Amino acid sequence: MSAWPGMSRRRGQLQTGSSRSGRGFYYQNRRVLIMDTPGTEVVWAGEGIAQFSMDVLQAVFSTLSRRGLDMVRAKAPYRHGDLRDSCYAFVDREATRVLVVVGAEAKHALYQELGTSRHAAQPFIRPTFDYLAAQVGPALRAEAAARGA
Amino acid sequence: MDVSVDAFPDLTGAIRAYIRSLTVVTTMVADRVWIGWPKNADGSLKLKVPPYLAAVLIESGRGGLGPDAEAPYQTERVDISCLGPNEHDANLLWRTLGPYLVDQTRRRPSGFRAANTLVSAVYQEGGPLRSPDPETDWPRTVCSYQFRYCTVPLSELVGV
Repeated sequence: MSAWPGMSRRRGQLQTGSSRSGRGFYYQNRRVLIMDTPGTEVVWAGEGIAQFSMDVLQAVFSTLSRRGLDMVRAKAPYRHGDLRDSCYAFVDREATRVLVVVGAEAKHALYQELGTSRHAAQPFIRPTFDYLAAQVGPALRAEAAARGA
Repeated sequence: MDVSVDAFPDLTGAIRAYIRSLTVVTTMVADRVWIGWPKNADGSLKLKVPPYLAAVLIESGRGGLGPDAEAPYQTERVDISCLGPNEHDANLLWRTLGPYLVDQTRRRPSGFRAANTLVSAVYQEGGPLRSPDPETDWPRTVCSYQFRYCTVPLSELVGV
């Protein structure tokens, strides 16, 4: 029995130094006993799961980044096009965190977003953010399912 | 089914009523707690600046997380700007007001009741950002909050 169906590339039985009998092991300072059921096999797939998760995150956030760029450009107030052209969205990865960064480089982007005493705000960055935030969960589930999870 | 607009709580009004109830803030700003910039009918600013007075500016319509699917709650983003005669005083005003919106020690849940509205949570989303108004050079500190509030008026809630 695999703990993670379809992820058997890195399989290996838990016969570590802390498992003399092969019937148990230590995981994060906890003793884990394996039920003595015939045919039961415990497979360590941690690395595979981590890689799978990162692949899903990377794929989903790349998609969201593209959608975010389309949306932030569509929502950016258009006058000369400089604001729209300065919009950006990219995926940033910090260790195990994956981020989508959305914004605009034009100097007046902040004033469009927040408004001034003369001009009403025309928020375009934060609504894009709300739109993306609502999509993260469903998109992750769909991508994981598409990859066989 | 007819639904009166009165049946939907006015979050922005509730925030203003709440801020106006804070003596420590009104000592600094008097009655200058505005919903949007105070303007004349022709769109010009109602005030002559400078002098740069201390004031709190509440601006809604900035999106937000939206309504809960199954509970009568809505989460809305509101920008609150603290204006002052200089950057330091604008920031001081925000530091005075901020803890009444979100408890800095996290010892008590954020939220308040005002103007027949139950605000059950306040999240600081971004800021404080020092961003003087570019048209008037009025020093201000802007902070963005998400307010989660009950979409049923307080008067219609039983047992609260």
